[in-house]
Amino acid sequence: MTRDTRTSTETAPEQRTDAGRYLPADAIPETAPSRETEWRTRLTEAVPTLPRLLKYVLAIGVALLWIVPFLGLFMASVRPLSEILQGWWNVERMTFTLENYRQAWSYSTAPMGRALLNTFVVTVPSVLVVLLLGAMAAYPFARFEFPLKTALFFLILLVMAAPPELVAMGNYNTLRNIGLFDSYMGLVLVHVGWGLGWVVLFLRNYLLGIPEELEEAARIDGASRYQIFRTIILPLSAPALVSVAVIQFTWVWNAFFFPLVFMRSPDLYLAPQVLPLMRGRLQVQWGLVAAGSVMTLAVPVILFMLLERYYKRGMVAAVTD
Amino acid sequence: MADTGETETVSGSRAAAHRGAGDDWHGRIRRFSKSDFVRGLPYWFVPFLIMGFGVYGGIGWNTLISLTDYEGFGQPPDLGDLDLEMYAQALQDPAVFVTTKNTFVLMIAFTTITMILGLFLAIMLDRDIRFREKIQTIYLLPMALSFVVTAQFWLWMYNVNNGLVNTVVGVFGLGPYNWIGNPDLVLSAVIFALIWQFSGYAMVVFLAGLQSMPDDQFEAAKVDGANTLEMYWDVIIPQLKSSSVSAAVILMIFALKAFTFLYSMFGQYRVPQATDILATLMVREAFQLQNWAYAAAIASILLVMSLAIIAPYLYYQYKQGSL
Repeated sequence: MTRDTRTSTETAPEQRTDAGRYLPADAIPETAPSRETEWRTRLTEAVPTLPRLLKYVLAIGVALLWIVPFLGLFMASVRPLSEILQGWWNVERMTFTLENYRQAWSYSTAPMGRALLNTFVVTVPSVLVVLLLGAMAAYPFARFEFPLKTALFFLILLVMAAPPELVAMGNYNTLRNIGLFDSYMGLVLVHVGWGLGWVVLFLRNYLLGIPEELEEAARIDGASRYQIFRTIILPLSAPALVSVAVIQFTWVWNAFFFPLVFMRSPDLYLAPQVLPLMRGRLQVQWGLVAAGSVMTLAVPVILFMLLERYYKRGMVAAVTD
Repeated sequence: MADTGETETVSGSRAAAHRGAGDDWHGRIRRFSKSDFVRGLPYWFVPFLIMGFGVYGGIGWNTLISLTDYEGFGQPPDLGDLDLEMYAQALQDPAVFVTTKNTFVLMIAFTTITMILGLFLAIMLDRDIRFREKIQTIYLLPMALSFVVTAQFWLWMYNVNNGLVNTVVGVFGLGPYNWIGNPDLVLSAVIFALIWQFSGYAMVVFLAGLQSMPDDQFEAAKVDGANTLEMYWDVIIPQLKSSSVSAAVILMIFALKAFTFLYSMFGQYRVPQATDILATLMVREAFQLQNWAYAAAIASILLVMSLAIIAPYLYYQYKQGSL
């Protein structure tokens, strides 16, 4: 991809006649995938055989099993409790109501409306700071040579191994001592520290895949390391940064343990913290819980659907490289 | 690019050597200030500071506390006499024994089944299927959810009286089972819910491995007359070794972190004994019972377990040159 951009910028001035609609001949990769096999499989696809039919039945069956809980959650969130107790799948005599959402939004102990806002307030800085610091830390590990590099890198990687429960007590004490306990600042700091482990690994691996010649050219033109970082490295790693952003966002948004330990004032509760409170004591308010769940999951699920490609790439690359 | 940096410093040092002993010191400082180490410093120093505070500080404090008798706040921990008393106590504690056993059962059952299911889904979606992207999205969707949400709705699905699970098994003339209340069933119920959430992840990892394989391997196996099952078993699956190891490590680490799921499913620190794992025991000891030193010792056991999983993996990756 980087190759293509370079060749097209080089050849751009004299090839303006086609208005940039076609790639120059030398920008077409030599190892283009052969269409032949794909064409053949396409032909077999048109003819359903018994094993293939079985495969579709299985694939769709599992997909149903996966989607049913979501469906149930949504159904429960828009129906009164009496109907939910009869089973949400009974659709005759269904009453549609938004009462559950209204109640959840202004739930007495900790209103969901405010909790969602709080979650945003924590998540957005956690993502932005991790992006910036992660890219900064990944750059020297991909390009510089210095003593202790491997040792420091392993120190980063081991962060991924430590269970959050392990450091919670230590962080609890530190945050209390420096006065950041029960504040978003402290929570963001902890989230950033935890996120950096895999972010640095992922971005460093990505940077190693960017050819160095691009920077070489800039260096010859007298660009400083900072300029190279800002004008070459950052733009080129944009797809990786999107992957990092979407995964870290989901991660922080969904986090429960850190808020549970560090956020004690009900005013400051985050959405995942409020949800278990809604269950009530004697009769579980399933409708209320379902409405709260839908509100909590809406943002990360929409983000996931929009940026699924990046999400998958990040999840795969974070482990296989 | 690193090369040019080195030649620069090398010539610098040679010049300094020529100028004699008086300038040598200056030269060394200048050389040092131009080295990659110093130039890299502004990039990685702040991230390391935060990681050091957030993670390594926590681990260090934890280890130190586990050697004391610290219980709660008010007075600072007595660092005068450090001993391994808490570890000795943990080794004799039946609760630690039970939770360790549960942790292993959860980890092994969850990881194995998730991987097998993920592999199965990946093979199913790998070739000759339409709507691949759509189906993948559905399988992967639970990964975007919070443990808290998953716990809520599985609790609801498992409900004795009106849960969907009992209704479905009722169709086959079974049940109703008290999935959550019955100590024999609750761990399986929890593991199933976790599998539901994570098998999409295993699928994506395997699918990436499968799709990076050249088509001619599949063709060659077919020409040799192998049936589909033989082909996958003999040719394709052995090549997924590195994907499998990576996925297994990540899943095991997730299993050790299952605290959130258990806590929010049962709504309290005290979870049913059959699902009590080391992480829940540790958090309960620390934040409910204020036995900080004891909790810290349990946390150390947990850390050793995760290191035992991830350190060999990282070392192996490093030796392979893929890190």
